[in-house]
Amino acid sequence: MKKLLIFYFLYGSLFGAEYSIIISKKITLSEITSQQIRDLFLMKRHAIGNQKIIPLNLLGQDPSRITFENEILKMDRDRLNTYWVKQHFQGLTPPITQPSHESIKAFVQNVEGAIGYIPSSMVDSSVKVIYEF
Amino acid sequence: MSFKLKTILLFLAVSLIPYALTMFLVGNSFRQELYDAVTQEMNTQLHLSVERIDQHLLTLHNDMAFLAKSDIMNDVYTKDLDRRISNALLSKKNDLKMVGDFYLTDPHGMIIASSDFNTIGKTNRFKSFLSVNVYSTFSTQPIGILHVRYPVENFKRFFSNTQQRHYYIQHADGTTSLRPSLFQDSLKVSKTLKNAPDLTVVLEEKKEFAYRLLYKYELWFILFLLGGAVFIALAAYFIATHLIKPIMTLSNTAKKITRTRDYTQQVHIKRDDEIGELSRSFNTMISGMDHALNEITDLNQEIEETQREVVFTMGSIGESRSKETGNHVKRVAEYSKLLALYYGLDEEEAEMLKQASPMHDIGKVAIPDAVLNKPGRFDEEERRIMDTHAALGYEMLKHSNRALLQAAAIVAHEHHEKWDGSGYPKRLKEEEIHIYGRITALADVFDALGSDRVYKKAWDDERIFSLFKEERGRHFDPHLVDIFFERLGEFLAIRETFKDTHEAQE
Amino acid sequence: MQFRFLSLYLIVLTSSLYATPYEFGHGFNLHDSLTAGGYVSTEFESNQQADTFTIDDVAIMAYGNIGSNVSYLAELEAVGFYHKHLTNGNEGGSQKFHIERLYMDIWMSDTFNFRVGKQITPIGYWNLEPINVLRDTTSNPLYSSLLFPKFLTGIDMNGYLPQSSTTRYHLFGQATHDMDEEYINIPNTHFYGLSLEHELSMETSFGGSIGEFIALNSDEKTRFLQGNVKYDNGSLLLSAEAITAQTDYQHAKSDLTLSGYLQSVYHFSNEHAIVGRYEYYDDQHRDYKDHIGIFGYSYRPIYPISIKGEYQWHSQENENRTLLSFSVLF
Repeated sequence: MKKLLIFYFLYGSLFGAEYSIIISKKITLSEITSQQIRDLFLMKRHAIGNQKIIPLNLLGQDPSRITFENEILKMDRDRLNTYWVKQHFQGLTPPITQPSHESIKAFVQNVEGAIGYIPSSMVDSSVKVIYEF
Repeated sequence: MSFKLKTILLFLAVSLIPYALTMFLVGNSFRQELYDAVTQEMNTQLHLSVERIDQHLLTLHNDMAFLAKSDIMNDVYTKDLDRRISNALLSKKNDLKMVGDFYLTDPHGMIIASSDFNTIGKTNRFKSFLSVNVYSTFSTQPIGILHVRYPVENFKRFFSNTQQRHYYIQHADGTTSLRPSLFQDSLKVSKTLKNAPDLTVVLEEKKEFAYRLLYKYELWFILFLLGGAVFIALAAYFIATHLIKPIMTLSNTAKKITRTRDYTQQVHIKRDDEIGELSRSFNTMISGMDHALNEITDLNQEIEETQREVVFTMGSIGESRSKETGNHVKRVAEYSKLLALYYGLDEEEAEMLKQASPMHDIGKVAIPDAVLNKPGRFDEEERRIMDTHAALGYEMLKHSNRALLQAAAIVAHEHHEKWDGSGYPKRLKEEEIHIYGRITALADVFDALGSDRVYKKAWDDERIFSLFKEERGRHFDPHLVDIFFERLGEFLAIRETFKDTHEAQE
Repeated sequence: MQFRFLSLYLIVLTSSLYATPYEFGHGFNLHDSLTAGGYVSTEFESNQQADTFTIDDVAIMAYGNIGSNVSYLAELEAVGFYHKHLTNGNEGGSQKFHIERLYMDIWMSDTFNFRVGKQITPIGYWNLEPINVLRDTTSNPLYSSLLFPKFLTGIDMNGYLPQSSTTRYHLFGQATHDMDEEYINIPNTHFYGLSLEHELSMETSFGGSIGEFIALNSDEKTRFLQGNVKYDNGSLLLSAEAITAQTDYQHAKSDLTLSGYLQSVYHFSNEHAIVGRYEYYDDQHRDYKDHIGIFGYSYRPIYPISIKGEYQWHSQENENRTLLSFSVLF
């Protein structure tokens, strides 16, 4: 498993996989689909299998977030904003935020099921990567 | 001790005790009321302050509870990497203008975030004033504890302290904080903070300040007490005077009656009470006494009259054997009284002499007729017998204790003594002779010379007078002779008033 | 009621330091268990009978999570807050707030979630966005207001169909009176249904539902079959819904009511859009038919603020009208 991951990592970095979706190492989940990520971050779904997932956004307009929204959520800011306004009426709030990648990383380590996106360069052995983009 | 003084003292004693007691009680109750009022006011102030502090503490607790629930607490999971929690704590501390700090610790006591950035990452060592658990949606156990270190300095702004009155905090272990100064004597009220049960707020006020009203009035109380005493004394004095007046009147009247012997006097006290009763009784008694005395006086008078008459009668009886007239006795008595008065004897004695004088010749009842009424000259034996009438008269009269009869005894005994000591029976000389005797001698001789007798005819006045002049200092007391000549007119008047009528012979 | 309104906003003012900064239309996120919001809409209508101005909806909402699997929502609304007849000068309104929605969501898994309380009936697209600010036209199609109850008070089991990540289901039932019957379009005591929604792609989705209900006022049972389809590529949004309902009338034979609409919204830009809609309504029992054509324009300076205007042509006489509205979602 680890070897596969390193491979993906190298492969990803070779082919410009700038960002990684990370999760706590204690979680058994190893990978995730783009569709699943989207459903989770749009708060349509709350779990993968039996594991409750807590999505984390980066606060603000950081490029990692822009990229994430464009590539995974496939919605631009305006559309996303419209979506969340509608969800607000339905009683749903967007995912919780953290102000920096470091804090995303720290949070992910300490809260089981939390997932967030950080630059792949920040990935180390303290967290598990389950997706790259 | 006079009645007035006794009354005053009694009144003072009787009224001052309850008065003083009342004053004392009033003073005490005033003190109590003042104490109650002061402590009540202090309690009101204290309660207000304590309420404000409690409110503030409640706000603090609510703020902390709110902080503990806010989303940024999720940063506990990142160990507050971005210092969001610490900044929020700092901002809260500044908002509250608080002395002290907020700390967020993990369940083991390690400080994750704090308004004092220097303490982050260290273990918590201080005592927390308030603490609130922090929960998150991701776990059922608390993820941390939010503490506040809130020293008592924070309460300072709720305490409005003055020189006389200040607040301070007392801890559960007995120590105190924020006490500006120590008061020697103070009133204290205290109340425990509802939201911090081991802190008690104490409000302390200087006793002298608290009781300043009392001290002000204390002086007045003392003045009142003294004033009251003076008033009571004066009242007592006047009451006593008023009460005693009738008594004094009574007493004065009694004294006056005794002094003047005028038992007709009455006491005029018109009152309906016992004093009036007393005065009425007094009056009744006095008039009773007056009546009694009048009776006695009357009786006395009678007795005196009787006595006088008896004596006079006895005198007359004595004279009845001789051929001298009854009026001779009267005249001699009158002459004797006059002489006595002008000699210097008092009216009583002179009167007594007047009444005793008729008995001067009582001894003559023991002289036989043959001698007594012999017309011619006496021979020696006859003379001797005749001269015994003085001693005899004395012997008859000397046994009585009555003053009058004693006087009569003297008169009888000494009316024939002569100034130069050539008289009889005892040949007394000059002032050895009792004045009664000297007077009677002169009176008797004068009358004898001026009246007709068995053995001679009445001398004329010229001859009488020249005899007296001759005999002045020989037969008669010179002083008496002088008086005779001085008052000659009065003697002659008496002779004229009581002269014999030719037929009359008693 | 107004006081609650006010105090809510006061809490908001004092606490905005700690929550995420306020964004218009996203509500006041005080903390995980409390987000507050509200909306207001005003309308102006001019038809053959009268011109009226209405402050139509005034509402406040609060929702949040209680625990990791449970959440709630509460909404209080005053409908017809204020209206004024501009022709005859009549004024009026009801400032009484009633419970529009009040429910609890219990999440057990992505395939099994249930919602208990007073909630929006999960049928079609139009019904799910019942407020002015979320719509593209001021008016609602007759389809959505006359054919089935917009709200139900009961239990809705919903989720993704097992083994599927694109199909959702709702299975709902109401067996009691509605909670707060004030503004229910069709108060009922008995309402059951099943709806499905499938997402073909990011742009396309479709679904349908069946159900039945017994209207409270008439005690008549209606059974319906409904379908909906949508295409949205960001600048063009096409949507269509249709329903056929059979009602067992008292003292009459059962009859059908048919209704549907087809709407297209074209966005020139994020702010501007034009709207066209065709509606069909046929109540066979009352023998009432109407074809409606609507042309409208929508301007949103930001998404949660909507300024709209439309004109309606009716095949029925004297039903043509103009509508203008302004609404805001907080």
